[in-house]
Amino acid sequence: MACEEFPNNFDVVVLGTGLTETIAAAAFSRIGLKVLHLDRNDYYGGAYSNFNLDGIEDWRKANETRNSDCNEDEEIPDKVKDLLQNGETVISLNRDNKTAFNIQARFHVRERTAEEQAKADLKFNTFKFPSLNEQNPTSDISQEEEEKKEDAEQSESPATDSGVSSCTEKLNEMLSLTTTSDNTAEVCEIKDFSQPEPPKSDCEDSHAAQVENPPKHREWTVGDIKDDWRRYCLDISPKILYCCGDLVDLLIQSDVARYCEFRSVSRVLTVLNNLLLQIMNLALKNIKANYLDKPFIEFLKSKKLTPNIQHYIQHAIAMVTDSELSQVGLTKTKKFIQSLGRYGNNAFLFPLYGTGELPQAFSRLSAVFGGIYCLATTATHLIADSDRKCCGIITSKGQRISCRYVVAECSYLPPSLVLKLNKRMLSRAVYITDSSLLPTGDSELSLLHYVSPKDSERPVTVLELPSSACVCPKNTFIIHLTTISNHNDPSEDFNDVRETLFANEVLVQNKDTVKPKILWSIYFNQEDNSKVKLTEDAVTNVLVASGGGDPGVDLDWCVAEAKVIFHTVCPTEEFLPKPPNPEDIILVDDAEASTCQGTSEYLEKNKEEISEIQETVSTDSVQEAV
Amino acid sequence: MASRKKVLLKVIILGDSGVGKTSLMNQYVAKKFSNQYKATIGADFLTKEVMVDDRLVTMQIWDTAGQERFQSLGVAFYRGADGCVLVFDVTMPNTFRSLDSWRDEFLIQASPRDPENFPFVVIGNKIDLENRAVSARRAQGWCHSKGDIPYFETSAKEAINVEQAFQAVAKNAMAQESDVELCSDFPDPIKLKDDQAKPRENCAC
Repeated sequence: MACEEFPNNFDVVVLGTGLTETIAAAAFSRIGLKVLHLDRNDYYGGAYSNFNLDGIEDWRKANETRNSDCNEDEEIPDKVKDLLQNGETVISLNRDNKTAFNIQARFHVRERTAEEQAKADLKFNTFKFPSLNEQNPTSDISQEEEEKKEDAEQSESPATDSGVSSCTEKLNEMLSLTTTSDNTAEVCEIKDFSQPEPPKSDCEDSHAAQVENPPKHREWTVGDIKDDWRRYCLDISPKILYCCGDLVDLLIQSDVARYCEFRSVSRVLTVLNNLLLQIMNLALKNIKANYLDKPFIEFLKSKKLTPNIQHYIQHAIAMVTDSELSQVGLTKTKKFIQSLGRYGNNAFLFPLYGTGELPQAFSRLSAVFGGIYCLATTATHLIADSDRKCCGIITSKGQRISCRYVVAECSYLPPSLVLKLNKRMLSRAVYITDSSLLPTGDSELSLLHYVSPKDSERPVTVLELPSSACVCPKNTFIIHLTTISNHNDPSEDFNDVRETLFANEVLVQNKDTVKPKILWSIYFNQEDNSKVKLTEDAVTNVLVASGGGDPGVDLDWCVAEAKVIFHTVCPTEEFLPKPPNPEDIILVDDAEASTCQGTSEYLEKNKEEISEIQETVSTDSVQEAV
Repeated sequence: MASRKKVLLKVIILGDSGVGKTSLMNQYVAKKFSNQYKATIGADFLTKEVMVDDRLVTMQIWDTAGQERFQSLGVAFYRGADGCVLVFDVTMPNTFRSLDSWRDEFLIQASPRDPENFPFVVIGNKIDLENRAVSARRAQGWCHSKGDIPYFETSAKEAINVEQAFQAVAKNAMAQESDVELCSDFPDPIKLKDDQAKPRENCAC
């Protein structure tokens, strides 16, 4: 595993492996450009990464000691100067960066007693050395799990219902679900729009179900959770994909989809006593221009909807605040409706193991097409020529690399070069819990847009993930909460949602036991770096990519951003066209090359095209990525 | 057993750069060999259907795509692997010494349910070359110490023993698979494909 030097010349150097950068890198490599892709961290994803329980603790500690300040005036070391040619200057880059602030993580359960620890050690040992005992180490609970499995299978809805293909049909079917209200309801499930099953009018049903099937009253300990530390995949920027969104289309078109698998976000929950709505049809048919610049809520009111239905469309489907304009609300509503039916009857998908898998999937495509990847390595300096045009970098290993373009995630560039347009912070919480917010089987992924009665402008996006999403062990759930920060302490931003939806830690007995209990939690703030641009001081041929931290649920905007970056460098090239079949991508000997359909010939062909493009691309073309 | 699910095995190939991972994969699946694989370009994964105990199995063999060169294989690469082929070059002792760290890396990143019995196979490649530097006995010894990992000496160039090595990993992975089937209580995840009809852009509603 010896380390070698990089080649000295590349077309594009990409700094940071967040989603935008990896999509762009894949697009460059795909058409044959030479790409060097670096990340200062020893993991992929930057602000989009995911960690196991140990990993997130390392991440927390690293962020405590990290320093975001870049000393732009620092003296240039002699060994860097030695690498420069006549007339060249260097710009110091950020070597380190805090990706989160005010991080607090803790367990909410007790430690094991000495006796329990001894028992656990014994079990752990039989697991490690199962030489004589062929039994599954978890056999003592296997019967219980068998039963659970059957339950899960029964509750599984048919995977595909191909009859539903147009929005109109879907909406008509929605109409068949008339709604009744019941004041005792707390969390209502809005599910499976096309199944004309009798609507659950309130939560009494589900609460009753819980009584029949009470969640296991197991007392958790820190050790129980730590034993499974590798089975947790905790995203720091949990996101979902619209089934008909740009990212899903790009994954399919580029074949990156073959590197990942997904689960449907099978439930959309809302905290209200009402269920379905007739209005979807009306709302979409009557997109009236005169509402486009008025708040969405006024549009909904004008349609004489009952407050509950307004609430449902606004919060569960469009997910907008009261002040959001109709145009935004209607666009989001439309996107939601269009996304139904493509992969089952749900609008959203979640990647198995978490959002952090997506940048890795695009990185792989880049690598397959020759992109060179190196983690835990960054650029310490940008090299600019006498025309203030970027012409290379110095790596943290002290190597000079020449390149035509540098694409950098914003945190790699010094503050003097980047304008951050969204000056706000997000608050995030991640909980490990012992049950679902609405237990109806253990394989539902749920989305809830929670609006606090106290602060309707700061809704909380809640994403609940079960073990079937491969983010946690059986019998646990991961619940992600996201909101725009309003307090210095991120946990305070979730006080209301925590009190409403989760068991009270002090009064754990009886009454509250149907609510999920928080076993472990982490809170942190993230800077919203989703809108950035370069300042006028910036050198040319440097492109900036956003650094995540937006409060939205999806990632489609990263596709648009990567496309702009790509087309700035390659204005006439196709963006991530479908690759040939893996079977066709085989390098062969020179002798065979003339008759081969494989990559070598393919790349050669592209080389010519690329050099043509290089000539046509004006070197001082647009620098802004966004 | 008519109603049994179609079996797909994900097998990943690990080992230092230049030991012949891509060549082995190509020899096994495409029956081709090239001296040209300096650093892997264009190698993704290949699939091959194999018979294991009268059962048709689709084996998906994943190459590192060159990301091992600077120790930058992301954890996503390892996810859900059913088998792992560890490769070294019998003429390069340092590639043999790396097997320990590749095995550890795999167990940490893939975190299989039963690490002690995970279906590894070790391949000592390039036995067609004259300048051999790692003896079969030494390699056997290491494999024995790691829970009797099957060991194969191959030449991707001469197509010696390649078939046997991959057949062994498929067979052992299937033996584990039958355990896994018992615990997979969830429906298959969704693969994104082109064939799902996309609802019309401008629908009437």
